[in-house]
Amino acid sequence: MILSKYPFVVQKEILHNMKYSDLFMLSFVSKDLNELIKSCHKKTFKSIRSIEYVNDRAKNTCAVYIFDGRKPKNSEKPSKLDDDMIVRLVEQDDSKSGSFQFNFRVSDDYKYPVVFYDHSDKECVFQSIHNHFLDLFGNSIEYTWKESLWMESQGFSTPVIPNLKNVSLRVAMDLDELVGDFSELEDFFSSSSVFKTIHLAVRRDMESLNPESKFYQAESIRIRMHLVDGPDFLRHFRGRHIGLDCRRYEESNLLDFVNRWKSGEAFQNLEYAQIKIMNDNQFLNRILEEIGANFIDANRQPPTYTVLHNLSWPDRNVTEFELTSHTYVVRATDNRVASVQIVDHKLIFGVWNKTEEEFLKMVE
Amino acid sequence: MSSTEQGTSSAAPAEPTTAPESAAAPEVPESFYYVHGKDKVVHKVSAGALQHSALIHGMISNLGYTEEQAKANPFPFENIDGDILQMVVDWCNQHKGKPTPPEDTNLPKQKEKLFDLVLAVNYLEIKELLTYCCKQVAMMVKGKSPEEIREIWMIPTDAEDEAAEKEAKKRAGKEAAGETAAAAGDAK
Repeated sequence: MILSKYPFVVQKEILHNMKYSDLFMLSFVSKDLNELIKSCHKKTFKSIRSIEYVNDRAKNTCAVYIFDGRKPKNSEKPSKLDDDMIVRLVEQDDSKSGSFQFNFRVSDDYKYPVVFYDHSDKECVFQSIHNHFLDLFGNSIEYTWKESLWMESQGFSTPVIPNLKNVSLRVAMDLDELVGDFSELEDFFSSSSVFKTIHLAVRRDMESLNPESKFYQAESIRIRMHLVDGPDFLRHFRGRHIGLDCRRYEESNLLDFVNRWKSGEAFQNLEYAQIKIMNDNQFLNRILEEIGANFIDANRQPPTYTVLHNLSWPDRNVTEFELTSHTYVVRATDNRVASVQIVDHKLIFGVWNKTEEEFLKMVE
Repeated sequence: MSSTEQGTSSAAPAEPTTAPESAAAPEVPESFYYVHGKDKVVHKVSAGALQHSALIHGMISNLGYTEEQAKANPFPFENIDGDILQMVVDWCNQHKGKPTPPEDTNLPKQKEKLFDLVLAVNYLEIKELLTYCCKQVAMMVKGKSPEEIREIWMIPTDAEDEAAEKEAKKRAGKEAAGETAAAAGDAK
């Protein structure tokens, strides 16, 4: 059977009946075939929502998933079924070194291809695969690298993330007694590109990170410090969403946060913050007065602030959060409003894209 | 399209023995056409079955053949092997007037037969059958490595593609040079 002998419409129909993982394998057969796939699937590939590398360091395995926007969307928790897997990359101790080449195999149940590689080829293998994705599927798709050791502390070591073009990084790490040297962590953040999401479970005392660290530029940061009183991660944050769960948090730091936002001195990119304080949190009862919050008449209905954040990752990819509060503060520099609420030992702060005048027009 | 519209029939309508009591419309006799492939074996197929083929349907729509004319003028499909045409005819008969199922498991398993069937079905423009066939062709490489796919679908390597392209360019160059020389000769 010679595929090239078929008319283009037939070739197109055949390719439209193939799964992404099979198309991926097919694209390695020849350059001409690769071009044929791209031209036949121009429209289909536009519907790809994201390609995600989900790295499991404990197993030395990285599963790559492809999420198609035509499938029913489950933004709460992507299914991550084998069916969505386009390839699995597995580091092999005993793979023969020498000139690097892809060593494709298929999974036992024929669901997805597997690439085996030697540790020394890791960077090269990931870059080749990733560049192949960029060529095949285009660079307008969201590519994400997810590395999560959130729930299973198996000894700390900073992740080694290959340097891949156009990839958003999401990491979750436990910082416990096994962390020897925090400079390693600083080096990790400074050597990587800007993170989309960072989640840290801080289980030991640590010093503040360098205020200029790329850590603070992450779009979204979630810190859990249930057992220790860690540094003030909020102060230097320059991203959009932050969630802090702290054993203790100084009142002065919280006031400082709101005041610096109000003055326009800091947090210009901030959209949403939640700061939960477990102990010594009585001051939260008076904090609204102290930050100079404005109050909306209790008989009137304030508008509801809505945000899509990923502070609940890895449990959920995206969470929609709604905040309806009678209290708000205003930023001096542009008159923008932030709704503020104190609930469950938590300060919640949602920044509107509205001036005070526009905001008050929405109050019913 | 009904046989009445085409004005064709396989046999004269039966004489009514008694006047029908009910108001039901009289059954329209089915019209038939004849097709043959490379092997010249003629197949009699109903117009209903042939509706699956957009090509043949278009050809017979306005013919207005009588049964005798249809018999005397079978449609020749010289580019289709006899056994392949038989498969197509069988499929059209089996699915006459029925909704097509989501998959068809009766397609040939042999690569070469399936390849010829795809070409025939594409030529005859039988959309549903083409979809089934293409699914089957796609299934042949499911879970295969690039090298296995190359073998199954006989895909040339990049080096072979490049060599073929070079050869084609060379041939085109020679032909162009030949034409120029011939034109120059004509001018003299």
